[in-house]
Order: sequence, then structure tokens, then C-alpha cells
Amino acid sequence: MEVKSEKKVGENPEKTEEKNNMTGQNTLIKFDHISRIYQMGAETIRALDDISLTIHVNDYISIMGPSGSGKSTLMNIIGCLDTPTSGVYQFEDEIVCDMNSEKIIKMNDNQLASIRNKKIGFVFQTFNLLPRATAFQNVELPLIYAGIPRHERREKVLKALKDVSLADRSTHTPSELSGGQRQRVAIARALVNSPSIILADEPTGNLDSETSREIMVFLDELHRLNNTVIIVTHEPDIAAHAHRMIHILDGKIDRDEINHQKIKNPVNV
Amino acid sequence: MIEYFRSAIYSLISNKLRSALTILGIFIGVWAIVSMQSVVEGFDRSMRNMMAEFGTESFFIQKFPAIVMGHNWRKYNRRKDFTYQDAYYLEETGLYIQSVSAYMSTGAQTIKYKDKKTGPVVGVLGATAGFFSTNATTIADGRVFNKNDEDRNSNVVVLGMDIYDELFPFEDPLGKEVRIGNTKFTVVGVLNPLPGFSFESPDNMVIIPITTYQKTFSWSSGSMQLMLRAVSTEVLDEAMDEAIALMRIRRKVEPGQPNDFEIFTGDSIIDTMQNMTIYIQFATMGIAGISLVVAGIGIMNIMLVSVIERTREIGTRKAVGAKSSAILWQFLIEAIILSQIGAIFGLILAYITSLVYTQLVPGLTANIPLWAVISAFGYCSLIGIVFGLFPARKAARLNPIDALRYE
Ligand SMILES: Nc1ncnc2c1ncn2[C@@H]1O[C@H](COP(=O)(O)OP(=O)(O)OP(=O)(O)O)[C@@H](O)[C@H]1O
Ligand SMILES: [Mg+2]
Repeated sequence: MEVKSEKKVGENPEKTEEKNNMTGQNTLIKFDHISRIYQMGAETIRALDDISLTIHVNDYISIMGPSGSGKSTLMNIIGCLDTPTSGVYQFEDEIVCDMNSEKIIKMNDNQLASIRNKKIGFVFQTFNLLPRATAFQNVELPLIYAGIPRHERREKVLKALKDVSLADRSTHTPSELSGGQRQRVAIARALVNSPSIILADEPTGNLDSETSREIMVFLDELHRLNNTVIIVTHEPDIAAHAHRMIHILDGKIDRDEINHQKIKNPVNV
Repeated sequence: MIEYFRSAIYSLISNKLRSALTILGIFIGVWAIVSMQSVVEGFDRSMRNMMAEFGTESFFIQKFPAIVMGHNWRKYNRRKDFTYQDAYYLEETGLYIQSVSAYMSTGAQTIKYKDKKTGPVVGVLGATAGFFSTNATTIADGRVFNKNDEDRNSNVVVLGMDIYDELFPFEDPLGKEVRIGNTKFTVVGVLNPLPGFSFESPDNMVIIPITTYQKTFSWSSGSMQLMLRAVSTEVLDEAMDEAIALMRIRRKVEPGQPNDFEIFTGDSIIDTMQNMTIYIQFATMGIAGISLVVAGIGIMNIMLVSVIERTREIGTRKAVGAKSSAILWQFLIEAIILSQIGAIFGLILAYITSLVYTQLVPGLTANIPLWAVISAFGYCSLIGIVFGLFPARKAARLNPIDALRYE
């Protein structure tokens, strides 16, 4: 199986001085007392409650927790789709937002869009492919918004589709693809721009266990090729693919532990 | 930018029905206005051509003004009718008046010859013998009828060119008998194409003596029209003054009273027609403006539905890095393309309409003016932008998470 190997993260390792004492890798993402509070009339919902968290380059993290515990909220904030109500969020060496300082620092919508475009690859539970566009066009989308010229796009899209073993399906629309194939198109779309991190929110939630395993093979391979991957899941055996397992409860980190089974036979350390 | 066009066109194609419904309003609006414009223009031009051929020494006297506005009709209707005796009186008495012709015409008739017949669209003109000289008509074959024919109510007829072509493609028409209704007429001549005063082309007419006309078409009574010719262009004013004076005396108009008839030159008809054309144009513009605004609201409505329908798509696009401006452009360009396609189809149908109109109405060449084409595109773009902006902004401002979650 071929999975892309070119990586953008870690190009300037000397810039991020902080070292992780567990793996010795560079810091990619830093959450400093992040909260996300929804005010619903009189009721206050703490979707994320004072979370501090560091994610390193080439981490492979699973996030588990009961429904409504704040997993998706966490992913959305990491993915710059949502903004925390308090705390500091640092991505690579840029401050995405600092809601704590005197003067709130926040990237504007265009800066956030640009980070999402170049640094982040999303994989959703419901695939979120454009229904009337072909697999090729779906994968091409991030490249269009990145302003990459047509011939270069073509090359990259075909490579990404090949990486998820869908080279022969590039002209198919989502309705002509199976669930697993759709999710692979979504993975191709997520990695086509060589992002710094791949965020998968319940990527196997809509798939049967056989197809889920297939998808996990791709995500494992992505990690093996030095990508940073975070996956939200309800299934323990899916979570067990990750090297670091985070449990969330009521918007707080309940546990954050190393998956010793995986680290015993490290792929990449 | 090119990408936005590509994706806009793609999304419109993949939703053909919705796109078609959206452009329907624009399409009908543009079609109505542009074809109307083409007819008005064609009408205007053919009037001008006809008048030019009358020559600058002609003028007209008639009972009714060229255009009667609604309630005034009764007032004019009380006036005395003109007869062909008036024409002879003027011709004999007037010093500056060279010739005068009185004439009147029926609506559409069918002319038959043996087993051939024309469509029911031929005008029958009853005229005094002076018609041919007053009108500067030339004869292609045979002769025109004369005072003799008139005195004897002869059933003779002079054919217009089209009628001749239709009924006598391989035959000499002279001396042959044609039928109008149940009455037989002997063909004495064929006219060269001649300028006419009514909307129908004179080539699509037959001309019979006025006396015969009165006998045969007794149901088509009423006032005749008089066409007069001054001795020369230089004395046109004198000839008109003379005609007014003579008619006032003959019709016993008290001094100080206004004329109880209308007198005008070909030029003045053009002026009147032009005024009328301008009114029609203003009216069409008004209707056009309103109908296109309504069409614009239709575009807005359907675009809004489309934005809601595609909320998840918008969320997805934003998640993979679309800036708000990219989404705004996407929807705006879709709206503009829709309105332009509407304009194109409208123009195509308007063009077909003008061709059909030209075919159906002889002597009238409807033709779409260039400015109408340009302004159709311009105005439709404007409509697309104005009414596409609100839905496009709505789409651009969607919060990506809410959009992604939208069911
Ligand atoms: N837009 C919103 N308005 C108000 N409350 C919200 C909103 N979005 C999320 N929440 C609340 O935030 C909390 C966390 O939601 P989140 O979607 O992150 O949960 P989750 O862990 O992903 O759950 P699941 O496993 O069901 O996907 C929930 O209590 C939810 O009701
Ligand atoms: Mg969730």
C-alpha cells in the first residue's frame, strides 16, 4: 500500500523548543486552560472545561468518552472550526487565539480558513463529500482553495487517490461508492494538501467492523509515515490503534495515557 | 476566479430543473421586452420608409386624427364624413392642389382565381381614379382604371404585386376574372410595388374604383380619406392653407371655430408615430423593469433555498479551507450566470418572435436593436448581482460548525 510520505510538519524543528519528555518529539499543538462554554439562556453548558493539553508531531491519539462529553468540541477547536471562550491555543508556533490576555488575540476568519486549508485535514463521521461532485473533484477542493494551478492539482489528486487505493474510482460520485470507499475519498481529501495534522471525528462511526478495520489500516499507515493523527471513537478496539489514549468526561480530561501495547513495539520511535 | 466559474457552472448543470425554474422569470421578461422592442422598431422604420416614398408634396385630410385617445372618439365621430365628391371638388377648385384622391379600404379578404385563392389577408382598397397619379404609383402591366370605370361602377381591379404572384404565377392576368367574395372583377392592371398608407403592404392589396367599392362593400361605409398632392414642394404650405379654407367653406365651419377635420403631412404622421413609439417604449421599459425585478426576486428566492439546501456543502467547503469571500463569489457567480442564461434564451426567443412577426405582418421587418441586446445583458447582470448578493452573503456568513451539523 502506498501512503503519502512527504511531510510539512517538523520542517523547522528548532523553532519549537519544548520537548516532550515521553517521546522526545516537537510540540505541534498547545492548549492552555481552554474552555468552551455555551450559554443557553440561564443554563451554562461547559462543553470543554479548562483543558490543558500538548500534542506532538507524529502523535497518534485516540479520544474516547461518553456522548456529549465534548470530544467533537475539542476536535473543532483543534481544527480551527470553533473558537474557545477562554484559554490560549497555539498551533505550531502561531497563536490561534489568546482569550486570556488583557487584549483578546484572535486570528480572523481568513487566517483560520487558511490554517484549515493548509495545516488541517478533516475526516468526518458522515464523510461530508459534495454529493454531485466526483471523487476527483472532492479531493481537488482543498487545492482549489489553496490556489494551486490546475496541472499541479491533477497530479496531487491522483496521487492522493492512489494512496487510498481509489485511483480507478476518480470519476465516481459518492452515491456510486460504498461507505468505506467514501471515507477513503474523504481521507484522500484530508491528506491531499499535506496537512500538519489529521483530525478524524468518529471516522468509522457509520461503517461496519470489517470496513472500519480497512480505514484504520490507512490511518495507521498515515501515522507510520510521520503524520500526526487524532481520532475520536466510541470503540475500544479502534482506540487501541492509537499510541496515546485520552479519555474525556464532562468536558475535562479524565485520563491521558500511553498505549503500552503499541509503544512496546514502536513503529516510529 | 476561473475555478469559481467552473464550479458555478458545474453546480448549475447538476441541478438542471432548479436552474431552469430560476431562469424562467428572466427568460420571459427579456423575451417580452426585446421582442416588443423589435416590433416597435420595425414599425417605426416601415412608417418612415412609406412616408419617404409618398414624397414631400403629399398631405392628407381625414375625419379622425391619426391617433384617437379613448373618450374623444365620440367628439370626432360627430364630424361629417368625407366623400369622393370632396376629392373632386378640391382637385377642381384648388390652385395649388394638383391632384386629390379619396380612398377607403376593407380589412382582410380572400381573392380567388379559378381554384387558386389567397389567404384571407388581402386588403381591398376603393379609390378614385386620381389615386394612381396622386400616389405616384407606377403600373407594371396593363392599365389603371379611369374616370370612365368609376362612372360606370365597372367591376375592374388592379392587383398588387404579391396578389399577382400568388394567383397568376404562369398566366397573363389581364382580362381574367377574379372573385372577391361572390363578386367578379376583371383584372385590368398590375401595380409595381407602391408605398402605402396603411400597415399592410400595398403589394398585398387590390384596388377597385371607389364607386364599385361602395356598391360591393356597402357594409364598409364611413368617411373616406383624402390624399392630396401639391403642385410642388415649394407651395405645400399654400396648398394646405387652400385645402383648409375650401373645406371649411364646404363643411360650413363658422369663422373662429376650429377645423372639423384633420390635415397633416407625412412628416407630421412620422412625428405623431414617433411620439407614440416613445410612449410604448416607456411603457415597455416600465413593465420590463417590474417583470425583471420580479424575476430577480425569484432568483433570490431560489438561491436562498439553494443556500439552505447546500448548508452542509458550505460547511464542508469552509472546513477544507474556503474563505467566506470564496463562498460569496461562488453563489454570486451562480446568480449572475443564471440571469445571463435567462437573458440569452430570452434573446433567442425574441429573435424567433421577430422573425415570425416579420413573416406574419407583411411590410414590417421586426429587428432587434443592438442596444436592446446589450442592455438586456447589462440589466440581467445587475439583477443577478442585486438579488444574488443577499443569499450569497448569507451563505458566506454561515458558521462552519453549524453548517456541518445541519441536517
Ligand atoms: N452549538 C451548541 N450549542 C449549545 N450546546 C452545544 C452546542 N454544540 C455542542 N453543545 C454541547 O456541548 C456538549 C459537548 O458536545 P460534543 O458534540 O462535543 O459532544 P461529543 O463528545 O462529540 O458527543 P458525541 O459522542 O455524541 O458526538 C454537549 O453537551 C452539547 O450539548
Ligand atoms: Mg461528537
